[in-house]
Amino acid sequence: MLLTGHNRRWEGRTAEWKKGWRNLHTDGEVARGRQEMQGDDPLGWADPLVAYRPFLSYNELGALLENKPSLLYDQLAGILGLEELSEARERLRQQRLARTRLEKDAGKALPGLLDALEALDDSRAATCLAALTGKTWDLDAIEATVLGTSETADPALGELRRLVNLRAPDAARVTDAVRAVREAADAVKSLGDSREAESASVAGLLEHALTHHGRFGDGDCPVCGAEGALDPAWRAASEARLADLRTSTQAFGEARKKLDAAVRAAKGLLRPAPEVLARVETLGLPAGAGAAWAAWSGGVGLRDPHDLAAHLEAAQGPLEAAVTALVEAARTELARREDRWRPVATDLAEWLALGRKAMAGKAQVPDLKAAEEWMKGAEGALRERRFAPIAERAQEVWGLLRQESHVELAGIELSGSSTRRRVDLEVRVDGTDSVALGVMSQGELHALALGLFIPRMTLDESPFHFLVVDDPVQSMDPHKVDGLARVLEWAAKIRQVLVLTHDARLAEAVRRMEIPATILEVTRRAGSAVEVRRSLDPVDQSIRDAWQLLRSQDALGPPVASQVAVTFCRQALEAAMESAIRRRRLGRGETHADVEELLRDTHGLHALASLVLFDDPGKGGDVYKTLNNRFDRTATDAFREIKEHAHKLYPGSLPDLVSRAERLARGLQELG
Amino acid sequence: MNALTTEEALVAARQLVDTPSQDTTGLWARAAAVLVRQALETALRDLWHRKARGTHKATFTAQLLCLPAFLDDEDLAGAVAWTWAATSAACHHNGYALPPVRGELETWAATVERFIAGTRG
Repeated sequence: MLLTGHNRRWEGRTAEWKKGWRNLHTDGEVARGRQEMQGDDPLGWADPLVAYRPFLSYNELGALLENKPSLLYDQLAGILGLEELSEARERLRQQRLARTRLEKDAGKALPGLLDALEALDDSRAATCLAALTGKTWDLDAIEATVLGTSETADPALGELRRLVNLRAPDAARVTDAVRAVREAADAVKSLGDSREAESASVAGLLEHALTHHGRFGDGDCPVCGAEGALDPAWRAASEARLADLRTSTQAFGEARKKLDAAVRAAKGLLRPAPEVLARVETLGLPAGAGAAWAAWSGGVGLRDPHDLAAHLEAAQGPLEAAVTALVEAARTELARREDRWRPVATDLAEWLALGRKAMAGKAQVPDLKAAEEWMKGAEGALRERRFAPIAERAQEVWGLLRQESHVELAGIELSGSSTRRRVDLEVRVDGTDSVALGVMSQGELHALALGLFIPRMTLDESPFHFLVVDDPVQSMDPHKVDGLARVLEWAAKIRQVLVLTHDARLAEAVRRMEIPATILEVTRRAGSAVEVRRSLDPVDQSIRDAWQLLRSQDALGPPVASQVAVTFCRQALEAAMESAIRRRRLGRGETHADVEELLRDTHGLHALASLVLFDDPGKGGDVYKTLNNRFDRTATDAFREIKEHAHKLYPGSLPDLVSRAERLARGLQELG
Repeated sequence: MNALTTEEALVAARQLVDTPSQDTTGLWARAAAVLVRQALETALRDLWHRKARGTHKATFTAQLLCLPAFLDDEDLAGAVAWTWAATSAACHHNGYALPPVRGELETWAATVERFIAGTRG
């Protein structure tokens, strides 16, 4: 109660058990220590109290092996400090399960998406479908497709978008170009083609003649030979004429140049058909635009400016109509595709997050699994290593306790894990393997439980330097009691051992085996008041009680003191002789059962003395003589007086009788 | 100093049981058992003295076997025999037995009182 605040007697019982519990041994307050600890667990004993529980009551002893096997496992495993390992493994397992669940969840959402994708005649859908049905999900491909960052993901879409942006040559520009070509052509025509060449030739001729005149002066015409044709007047006229000629040649050249430019500009409008038009039919769009554009651009070879202008004028209208129709059709197709794709894309984008997590998780699962496996192996090995000394100790304890039991404990192992954890007790009965619990008596079960738990209570790691065992002797046969005394003797070397028992056999064994121990006798008076006194060897006890009676003669009345004192002297002699007989016979290897039976059947001081002196209960007649020889006359007298005054008052000196009885008793005890 | 009478022995026994004292700590229960047995034995001796002289020379076991023939109450005779066995066990040293407890002593004393009343009434 003090340490744990609990009592195992209440556990799993009705409230009455708990409510009814109280300290009946005092009326007042129970005194508390001077220093009260603060906090929930000031000593840090909460865990050790569970792991190294230093108490073992009769209840617990019986329950240890009767409970579920996992409970026994837990109670033993607690001391091995394996919880941290189990916790770590559990954490790994949870992490692994969470990741597997992620993948499962992602996988569960997939069929719907796949169906939707399959229903689409969209190459994006096909890409995604391929990415999702492969051995592993190609999430990057899906992301690129969904986010549209990858144009190549769907060439058709690019083509459609290009078609939507397609424009026919602008009508106004065509009209301007046609007009420009026609005007320039007209201007060239009006200046005349033929004069232009002549004027240029004449101008070149005049220039050379004027240069000749400039160098050689007036003279005959070198061309026609006309005499004196070259003179200052000629020169003036020719210079004027040359200037005229130069002006008219220049105007013609300019008109020509203008016409060339206008034709070039017009032909510039006759661009070849855009490549995308070739794909129109595969996209399921009307094909007319291609032909119209081909017709349009076909005019580029026309030489005559007027033909060119007429071509432009004629072809522009049909081309524009065809292109407009195509753009409209492409726009409709694009919208149709987008409308069907968008919801699927949205779903995919949403799923993508899930898929990413699942894939990331999946990548870690093998590592987690490996870690778990490793932990499992390590845990088993650690468990084995840490449990080995305890199992060994338990077997030793059992070896001491079993004494005459046929049950041999071959091994103890903690095995299994999680819900199948248990303690395997390998047991051999008369050399045959068996399951432990079925073949063992209650006393053997208790002994086994002690065997398992005393090592636990005496581990170095335990902060408790004591152990309390309540009533371990019950249902044990006398041999096991001897074994138990040895076990407790061992435990007492490293721990203070407190044993509570109603069964005096343990005290008897402890005394007989000369195991150092303090034995306290607790007697309960009216009102549950208890008297505690140090219990001595029964011989010492009886003699001491006799002396005490003599000292209390006044209080008790002399006849009472006398009557009882003589009986106590008799008890001292009986105790002395019984202990001598036990020690001698058990030491000789006789069984407890045989010795106890002999003592039960031996009645009276004479028979006991005969057993002590002659090892034979039938030689009562020789007792006095031998007592005389072995001890002295006064001792023999004490023997006789005690025997004779069992039922009547002793007339002599009681102190004298008591001291003679004491001497005799010691002497008899020595004979063991 | 005369031997204790039946009544004296019973009174002394009850006093030991009921009155805790430094003098009797630890020994009162065994001493009371001795006195109760003593009372029983003197009561038995008185009975034989009045009804069947000489019987007291037999062993107590034999005397107790004869008892039903001299007591009208067979149950009482049984209780007396049992109480004698119990007090004797408590009076003889027995390495395995704790001293008798208060309730046992009271029951034994009450049986002896009933026995006295039964033999004298």
